[in-house]
Amino acid sequence: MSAALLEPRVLAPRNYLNADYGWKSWLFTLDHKRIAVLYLVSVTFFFLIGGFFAVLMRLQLTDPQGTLVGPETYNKFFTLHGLIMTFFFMMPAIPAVLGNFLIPLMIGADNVAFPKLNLLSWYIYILGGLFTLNATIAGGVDTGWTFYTPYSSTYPNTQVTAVAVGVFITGFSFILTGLNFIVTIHKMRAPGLTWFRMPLFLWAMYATSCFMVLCAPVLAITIFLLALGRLFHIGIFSVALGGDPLLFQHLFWFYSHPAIYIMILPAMGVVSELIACFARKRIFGYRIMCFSIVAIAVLGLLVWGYHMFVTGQSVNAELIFSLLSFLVAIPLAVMVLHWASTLYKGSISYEAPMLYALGFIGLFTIGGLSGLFLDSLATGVPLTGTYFVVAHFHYLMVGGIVMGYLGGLHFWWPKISGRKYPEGWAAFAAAIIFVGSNLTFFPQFLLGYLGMPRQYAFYPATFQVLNVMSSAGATILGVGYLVPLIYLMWSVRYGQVAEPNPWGAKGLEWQTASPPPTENFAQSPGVTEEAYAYLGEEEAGVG
Amino acid sequence: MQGIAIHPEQASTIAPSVDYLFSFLTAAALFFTVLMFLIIFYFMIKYRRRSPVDRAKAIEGTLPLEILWIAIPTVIVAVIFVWGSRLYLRNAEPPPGSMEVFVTGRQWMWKVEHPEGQREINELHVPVGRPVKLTMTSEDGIHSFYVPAFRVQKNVLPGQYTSLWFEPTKVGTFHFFCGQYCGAFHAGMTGSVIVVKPDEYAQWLTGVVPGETVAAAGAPGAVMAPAGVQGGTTAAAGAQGGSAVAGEKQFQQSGCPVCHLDNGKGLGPSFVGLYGNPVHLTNGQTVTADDAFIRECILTPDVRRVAGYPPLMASFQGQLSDEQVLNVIAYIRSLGAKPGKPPEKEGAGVPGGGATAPAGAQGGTAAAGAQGGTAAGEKLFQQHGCPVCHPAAGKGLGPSLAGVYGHPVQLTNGQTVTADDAYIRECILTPDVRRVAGYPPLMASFQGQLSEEELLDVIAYIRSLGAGPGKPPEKEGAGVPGGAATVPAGAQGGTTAPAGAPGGTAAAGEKVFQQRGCPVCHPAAGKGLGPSLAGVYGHPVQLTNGQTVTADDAFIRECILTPDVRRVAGYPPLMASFQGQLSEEELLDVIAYIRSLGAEPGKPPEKEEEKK
Repeated sequence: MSAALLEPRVLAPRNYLNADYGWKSWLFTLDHKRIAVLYLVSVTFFFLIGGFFAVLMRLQLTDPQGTLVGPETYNKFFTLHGLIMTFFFMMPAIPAVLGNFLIPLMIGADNVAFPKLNLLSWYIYILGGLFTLNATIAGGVDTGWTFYTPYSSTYPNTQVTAVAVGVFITGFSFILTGLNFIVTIHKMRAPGLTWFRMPLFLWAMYATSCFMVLCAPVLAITIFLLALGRLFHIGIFSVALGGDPLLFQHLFWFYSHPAIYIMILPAMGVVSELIACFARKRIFGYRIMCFSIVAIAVLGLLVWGYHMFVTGQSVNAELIFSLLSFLVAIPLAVMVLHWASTLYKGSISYEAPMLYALGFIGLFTIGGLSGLFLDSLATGVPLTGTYFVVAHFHYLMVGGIVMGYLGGLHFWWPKISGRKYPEGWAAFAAAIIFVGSNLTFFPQFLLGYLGMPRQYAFYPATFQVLNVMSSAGATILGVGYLVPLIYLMWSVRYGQVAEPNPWGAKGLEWQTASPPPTENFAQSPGVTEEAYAYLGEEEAGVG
Repeated sequence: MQGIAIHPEQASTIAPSVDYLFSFLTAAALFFTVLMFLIIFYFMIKYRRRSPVDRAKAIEGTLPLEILWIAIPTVIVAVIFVWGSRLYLRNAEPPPGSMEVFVTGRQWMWKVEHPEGQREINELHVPVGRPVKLTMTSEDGIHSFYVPAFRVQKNVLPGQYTSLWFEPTKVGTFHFFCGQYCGAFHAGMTGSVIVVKPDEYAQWLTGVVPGETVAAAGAPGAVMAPAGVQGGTTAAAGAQGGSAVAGEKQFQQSGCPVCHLDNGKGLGPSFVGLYGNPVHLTNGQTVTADDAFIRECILTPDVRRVAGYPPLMASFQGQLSDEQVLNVIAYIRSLGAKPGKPPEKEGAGVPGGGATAPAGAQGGTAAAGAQGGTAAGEKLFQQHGCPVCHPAAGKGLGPSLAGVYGHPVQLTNGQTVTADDAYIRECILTPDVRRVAGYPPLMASFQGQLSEEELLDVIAYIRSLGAGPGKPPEKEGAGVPGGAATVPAGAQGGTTAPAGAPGGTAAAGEKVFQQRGCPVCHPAAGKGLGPSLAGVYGHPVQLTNGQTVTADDAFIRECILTPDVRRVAGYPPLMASFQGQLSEEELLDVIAYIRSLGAEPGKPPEKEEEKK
């Protein structure tokens, strides 16, 4: 092991990182791994911008009078925070970074099915991002990330159209990426890698991709109609012109509600990989897990009216949507139970990725159970539109997606960069993020229950104590995010050189060099065993 | 105030039952969270790597266990679903005999009307122990009426009625909020439900109680006004007298007379003898000027417009309270009661005939030019009130269009453009993009108002005007900033130049002031569409909301960038925002220029204007 450490850099074998140099080799690359790195840099950039707006929001809310900025400006802060985090960080983060990097490696292929399309997706994503950033600089947008009509279609004088175009463009990036992954997983699996031998991460990515292809067009069309309405005064969503503003909510949530499940599925896939590896156990009830992933994706498509309990839809519709949203909770609960039982009689070690995975389970359990309050009609109605929703959502998004993403990033960091991150710092950051998430978002549950509506630039003084607590927690959370940013960048140059399989993990991606050569595998691998064929304790010394 | 509360106040009949379910859910969630954490921590410690425990017979999944795990969440979820839904259904319909109150939401306030006619804003008085049903609608976007202490919430939608009900169980004051993001001051769209004892409520309804907001709004008058309306238009003048008087005051304060001159020659129609008479609209229909139509004209003036007048009027939505609108209508009604000469009918008749005299002359040339559609174009030109601002000759609020077509026109951005079909189309549809120098940005877009065919007709007509004797008056008009028409500015220029330190920027500011057409509405002296700015700086100015403010740099900047927020009393809300139109430097220059105007011998004519 120490021999590997001291290996001089000049002697590093040819890999995808040193195969070529210069900006052209990156911007015109067709290598899925390099495209994944491009995405990694871009989503980190957008995460920092979205996080910056979150910092400003929490600063504003320390004071009930909201004296930091005026309400118009604050409205832009939460809109841009939501927009950038949702469309430019959370949706692409795991699929486009880890998915792009890992799908071909995990199935033993040399690339995705359509490498040029893959690069095009990134450019489309960047184009959409630039549109949105440009609109942000040109004055921002204040509709909330949900663009609810008729407010968005009629009133604001902000850059609604420009941002709508940005999101519309980005939607195509998701559609093309999804298409690419579906074909890749269908057609390019190594001999012997049957569907039920695939790691759960691939199942999650497959479900996500199907969803993207089915639903992202609905979002694109909805946003397009909104832009049409603004530009040409077409009254699809405008009451004055004979349209229906609620139609927008139906269309928007038809995409965006499942999008929430779909954003979290890849994170659940990642966590499954981490738990299995660090517990040295095959995932408990593997097949049930596969079916759960599919069930979440399918049921998720039918739950959009859950966001519209107070819009005056018919009682029958409300009952059905309430029931369906409860049903989604079942496969989610099953997955959590299965992770816990995977630990049973495992041989568990606690490297940073495992800490992230365990943190994910904790936060996801709280976030998921809080969803029951919103699913139930009697309690959901008074909680709609309050900070309870904000807290629930952020437990799943920050506690779920970001934890899963960071866990995955640490786990596969040796594979991606060829270097190890500093373990102590990573464990410290994982703990800080877990604590910070709870301190930030738990007070918001209480705020919502007490009746504080969301998207308020100022608020009655009764809510101040909890808001200050939340802002204090956000400070800790912010530090927690900056620490990995620093040490991961540091490790690219100064980290220990990683061996091909530093965790002793199963899975094809660990059977090639770290970092892998451009063609991924020297010779095409075959698969003869089930996923997660960990043998238990006797193998445990490898790490 | 009271620190952290454990749970929100329970103040309605349904609140305890909702809280009961909430507590059950909390307990269940806590139980399962703790259980999961304990199990995971137990496994984490017991099965840490290299711990000497028996790992034989590790299981990878057993069917009975998995079925059990699917069954347990399913049962729990089913219980919660049935519980929550039954509770919800039981409270879905208001009990018979509920007291009904109407609520209207709009950016960013709540208006409440009790069946007895009592009205209030951002407050809702209800008696304790009696079910109350709110019937709600919105005047603009989607809002949501949310009373945390009652555990009720429902969206308030435009063009639809939604309802919710509650039965207060506690006397007291409870917050209500807008729960659906609705724009800039969403956070301010809040208020209080004031639950009082039934006898206090009855007393409050009579308006005798010294209730805070209601008393201030002139409760007796407000209660009378709707009664008068329902009493029919023939109701005794006495009944409406109070509100008509208040209405006249409001009429003056909001600057209505500036455009609605009594002689019918204003920017908008005269109201003398209007009420109850038919009025022609730009869309060719005829409507009777009754309460409903006048209200519509005040709140949504762009939907159905009176023929012969330009679409300048701004909506007073959110500017006037319901009472104030009713008062103004009462005043207009009182004007119509005068000896029934209906000049409005003639004014509206413009498109047909009378006042086409100057246009007629140009119409002849149009016919000579044999341009298709010019006659139709002329008719549209009249019908939409274009000549009001674009006179046949000379300078109006907008440039005269005689002899303009095909000639170069100078723009506010310093560029020059030829007035061809494309540019005229652009001016009609998106007038704010490239504007002619020397004129204010008053023109409204006709996008959606004219069909493509009508648009072509109007352009053809304007083309025909340009074919007239080829003197391009427009060029001279556009030349304003540089030279000729600086007469009024010249007078002021004298004082600005030697004013000292800020002189340089004031001079630049004067140029911008001219170029943007400010003097058209803000004349050097006397009263224009907007106040004259001579001697204003540093002096107090009265606002439409009754407050007084000093015209300092900050206020002038505000007037230029957000003119609709705090407006000077006695002038109509015509001014457009110059946000994004002026650079910061230009803005400072203009303010410096206005400051220099204020340096004139300190007689504040502005203040006198207000007192009128």
